[in-house]
Amino acid sequence: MKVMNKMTVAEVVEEEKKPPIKMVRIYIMGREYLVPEGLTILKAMEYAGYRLVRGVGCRAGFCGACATVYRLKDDYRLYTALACQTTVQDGMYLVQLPFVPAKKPRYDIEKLKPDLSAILKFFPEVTRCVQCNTCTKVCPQEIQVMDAIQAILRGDIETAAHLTFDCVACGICSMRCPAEIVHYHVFQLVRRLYGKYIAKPSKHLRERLKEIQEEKFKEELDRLVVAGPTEWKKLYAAREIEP
Amino acid sequence: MLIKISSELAKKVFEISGQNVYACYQCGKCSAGCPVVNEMDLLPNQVIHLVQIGDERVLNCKAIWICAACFTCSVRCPRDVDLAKVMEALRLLTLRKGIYKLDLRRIENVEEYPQIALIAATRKYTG
Amino acid sequence: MKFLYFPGCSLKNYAKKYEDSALAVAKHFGIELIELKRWNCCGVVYSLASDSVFHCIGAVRDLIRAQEQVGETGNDKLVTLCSMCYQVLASVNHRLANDPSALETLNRFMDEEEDYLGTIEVTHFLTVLRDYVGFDKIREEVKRELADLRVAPYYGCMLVRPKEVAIDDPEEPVILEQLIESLGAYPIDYPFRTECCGSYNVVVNKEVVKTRVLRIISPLFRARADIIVTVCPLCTFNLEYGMKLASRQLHGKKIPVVYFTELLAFALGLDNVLDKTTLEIFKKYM
Repeated sequence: MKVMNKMTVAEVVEEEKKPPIKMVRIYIMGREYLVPEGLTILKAMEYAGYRLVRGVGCRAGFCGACATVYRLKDDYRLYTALACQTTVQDGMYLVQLPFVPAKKPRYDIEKLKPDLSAILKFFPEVTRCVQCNTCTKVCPQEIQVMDAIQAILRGDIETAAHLTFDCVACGICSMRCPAEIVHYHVFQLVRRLYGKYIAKPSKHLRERLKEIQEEKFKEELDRLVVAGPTEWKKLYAAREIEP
Repeated sequence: MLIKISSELAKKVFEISGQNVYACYQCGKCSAGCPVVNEMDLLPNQVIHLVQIGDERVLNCKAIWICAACFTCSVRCPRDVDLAKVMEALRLLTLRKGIYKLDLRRIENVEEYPQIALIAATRKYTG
Repeated sequence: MKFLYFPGCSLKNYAKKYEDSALAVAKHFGIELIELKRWNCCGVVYSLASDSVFHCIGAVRDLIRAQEQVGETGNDKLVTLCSMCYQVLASVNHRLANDPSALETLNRFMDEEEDYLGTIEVTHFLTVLRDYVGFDKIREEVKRELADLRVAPYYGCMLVRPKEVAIDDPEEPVILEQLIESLGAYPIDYPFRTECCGSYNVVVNKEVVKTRVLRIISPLFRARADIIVTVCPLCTFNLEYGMKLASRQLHGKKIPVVYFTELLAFALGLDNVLDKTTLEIFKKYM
């Protein structure tokens, strides 16, 4: 990164020609802050001085740790977002929901059947759904949450698993649900049931496991173990990445 | 229509159900035809009577939770009091306070019941 | 003839045989039941609170789904099989037709949906059979001799009460008897055919269901009923479950319970849609 005093005169002149950074006014838990336009909610909070311990994770929209709810100026609607994926807007009133209190029940997937009975056993509250559709409206991943719960009520585990594949377990739906359903735990069980009992076993996986068992890659792995960090980094950088 | 309702409880019931319990003249037809009356601690017409006199103890009776809204009383009432709606209003006076009458996680072998039985039960016993 | 069709959760699950047999029977009579592309639980029980529309939301969503697809059939009818679904959808529809402010509140709440206009007519498959096929036509199509079969029709509550949505007379319904007669079987007359099975009490208070079922079926042994015919998945569950709970009082005796559509399918010779157990029940009386 360039340091100011190392800039040439020409560069400084160029820099001063740029328009000043536009600031927007946001309210974090009711307190007003001026933050640069274009920042994500997460960065804006950090700009405002928050040091985030919870309510932040991968910063890439995958981990679901930075659930946020907000309202906009002159708008009654309650919006929801992942703080790392959404930029601030002028007049935004926001608060983070870094955690949703919900205990995941323990179950043995081997002892369950891939139908409604498995869900009812651990999450009988799914039967309280009133189809208000709030869950779908608030999902930052645009999942058809209500349809997934409804598929479950019909015993259609496969449809529910497909519908909820993109769930990042941010928990916003569960905080808004009047039926007090903890959707993301339910959906995780649904996808596990799907993976274990319904999805076709992968031929490639079976073949590869067989190859591993036959120690086909033993030599390569042994070489890797002793290669050391410099070599690992080089290999990692040069790895094949799917387009 | 001008309806004069004297007891506070009857007023609340009217607000929720639209039913004026003072239309009831205690003929007892509802209780005579009720299929689950044997399981009840109060007869359906007694439930109405307690609401008429504003006795809030009716909210603690078993009868209002046994009633499964089969509408037998509702179709037979000579005074057109929809008793199924009155029963629902009395249940809601408890449920709307956030008091649930059923703990779903405590139902034995919950997975063996058809979903419609569970959905119906949650709608009638939880808020 | 085409109709939009709302199956309901049970018919995709433990009452699958109700749907299978109904669809086969419909097809036999040239009726196409078009399942709604997207639907959700109706709510099972109609909320009786007139100061709130909260528990009507699910049913209205289904009515909107029907409205979206109404062009596919050329009529406004939405056919149901489960009698609980029928009663909820029909009752909500009836309420909205008479309570414009409730309809407005719901339409405003469901801002992601098109407005419900109140034009859908909720109907039951039994009504379709009576009004669009006709019992005479059914009589002509019967392939089996069922004269020795003694059938106890069990209506339960939801098709005949409350008055506003009843498909037949609340006190003296005849539609199931007429259907059974048209199949050549003998409909048994008994006093408890429209009495409640105990409904969702099965979850919290099994005794209620046990007492109810004992009472409902008590006259049927003397009346030598071979089978009980039902219209509702919860009645069916409770009758079977209640007989199990009361097996000591009944000395182990049972009366098989089948959906009316299964009896129809059997009479029409559509054996391939019936499951093995049901087929065995019927064959016993051939």
